[in-house]
Amino acid sequence: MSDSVIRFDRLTTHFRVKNLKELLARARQRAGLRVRAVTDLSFEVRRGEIMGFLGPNGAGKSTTIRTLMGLIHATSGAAYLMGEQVPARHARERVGFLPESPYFYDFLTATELCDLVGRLYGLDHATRKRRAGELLDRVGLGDARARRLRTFSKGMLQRAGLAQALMNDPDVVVLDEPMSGLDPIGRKEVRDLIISLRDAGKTVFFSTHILSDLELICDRVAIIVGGKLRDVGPLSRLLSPKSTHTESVLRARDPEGASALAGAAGWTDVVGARTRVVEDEAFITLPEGADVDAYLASAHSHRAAVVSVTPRKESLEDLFLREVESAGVKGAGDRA
Amino acid sequence: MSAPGRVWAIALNTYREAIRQKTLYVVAGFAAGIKLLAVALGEMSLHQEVRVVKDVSLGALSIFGVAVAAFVGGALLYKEIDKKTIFTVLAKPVHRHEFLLGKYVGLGLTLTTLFAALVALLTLALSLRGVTLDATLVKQILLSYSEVLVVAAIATFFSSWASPFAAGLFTVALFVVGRLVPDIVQVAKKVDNPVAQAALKAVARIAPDLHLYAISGGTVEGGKEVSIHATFVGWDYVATAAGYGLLWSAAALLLGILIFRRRDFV
Ligand SMILES: Nc1ncnc2c1ncn2[C@@H]1O[C@H](COP(=O)(O)OP(=O)(O)OP(=O)(O)O)[C@@H](O)[C@H]1O
Ligand SMILES: [Mg+2]
Repeated sequence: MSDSVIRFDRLTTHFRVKNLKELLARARQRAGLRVRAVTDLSFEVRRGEIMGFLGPNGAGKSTTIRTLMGLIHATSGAAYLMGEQVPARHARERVGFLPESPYFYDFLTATELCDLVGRLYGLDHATRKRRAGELLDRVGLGDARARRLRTFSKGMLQRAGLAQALMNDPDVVVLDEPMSGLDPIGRKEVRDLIISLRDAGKTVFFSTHILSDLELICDRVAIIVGGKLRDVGPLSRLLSPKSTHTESVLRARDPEGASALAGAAGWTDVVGARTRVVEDEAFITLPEGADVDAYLASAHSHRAAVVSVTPRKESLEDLFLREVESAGVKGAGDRA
Repeated sequence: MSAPGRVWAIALNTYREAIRQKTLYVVAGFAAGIKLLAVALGEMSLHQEVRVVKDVSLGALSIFGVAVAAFVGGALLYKEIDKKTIFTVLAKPVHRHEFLLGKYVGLGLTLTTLFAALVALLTLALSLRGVTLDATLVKQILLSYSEVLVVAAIATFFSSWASPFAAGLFTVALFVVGRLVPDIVQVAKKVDNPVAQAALKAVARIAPDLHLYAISGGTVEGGKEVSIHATFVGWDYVATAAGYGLLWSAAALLLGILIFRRRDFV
């Protein structure tokens, strides 16, 4: 067995546009007659890691995941679950899946849903009963287990979805936006759940467009924009470790200094800084590689008090924006 | 788990959904009302009371069975896809054909329950008139039951690609054509236009011959009159008709599976 648990090999999923109006609109924009949801996607998820799948709205995350789970046929290329090409019916016995904004049979109770899923995995009655109880407690639905899903809130449905995804005690867990619809406490609980799954030796592949969800827990991240893979690797590599710029705040020490501060835009220019003066404070942004010492000396000689000097590292947010910009996608784009 | 196990799990879930819906009870209540009406009508007609009870009750059984099969069956897959409940099931180690078969079996269970309830009521209504359920009645009930299962399979086929309303409508249309097959054959013999004749013959050949199941008072095999009230078909006829239905259902489901397997769920 190779170490790759999930593998995408030049996966391409394009949708036919069925609506005539839409088709005409696309023809006018020369957008192509198919929606290129996912194009030429190749990467893998390794055993035992938590891999984040990051992209803006409409990037193609759900399409990729649905293709992986055999719900959509790939246009070309292939996806593999534990070495078995999709639709990997056998491999799916060891996979748990949470769909995006899940909706389940609303005439069932949470326990009945878990029971149905357990039957589909071929679990015996005792196992189904035990796991349903354990999992519903674990996702915080212990008290609501006998309630019809129709009466569940969005966050409760999300939790029920997590419970059913774990009914078969899977080796691999695929989650499409597991934190959506959850409050901050819920988000933290899901993060903890994902970490505990990894600690139990499982592989977790989950999508999100919320950066902070990834930063805290992912071993590696794949970034998708406009249906194409932009980057994949450990966060520490994707985020450049050196500082990108330095932010500083100056304050006038005395009336004489105030006029010097007003002209700060002039004298900070020697180090290539951008300066914004607001009343008696100046906000300075020094570019990458600027001589911070020379800047400080200059500030001193102009009788400005240095309030703060903060080197800024690239955040996931910056990376995300950089990727979206370089892909030429304006905002959350359905321009695929 | 074995394939039958998965099909059964899906079937039970489908059945559970159906019996937790109010519409089914409305339909059952309506059919029951018609039976009571039949009993009342029987009271009024002097000597024919039993005949009226039988005719109206069997008619209601058949019509409501077909209606439920067509419209519940027509919505069978659409709702799962529309509400995305299908994601949860198909992402499990389930084959698509197992899902479709499970849905059909679940529909069959629902129709069986409906039949059982209505037949129980019929028995009760007849016993009020001092008549017991005889072999002739059982045969007609079995024929109706076979027909309803064929209609359910046809509805399942249509639901694999059409919207619920269209699927229900197509099913009812095919049911009507199916009931008229012998008449279409007759008409085809009389028309002069060769194109129309070929078309009618083709329709008669393609459509399921559902007239097989509606023999009360009609003609069967070489003009011999049969009726639920006097001479009636033998068990071999019932068995043959059921076998024909089984083949037709299998073909409809197979076609449905072929279409359903190719679908994308987004
Ligand atoms: N059935 C469909 N027909 C046509 N286009 C579709 C279909 N489903 C999705 N798309 C398009 O494919 C692209 C990718 O959609 P997808 O749902 O995979 O994005 P996503 O990354 O999951 O977004 P989000 O973060 O909003 O969930 C979008 O441009 C979307 O409009
Ligand atoms: Mg999505």
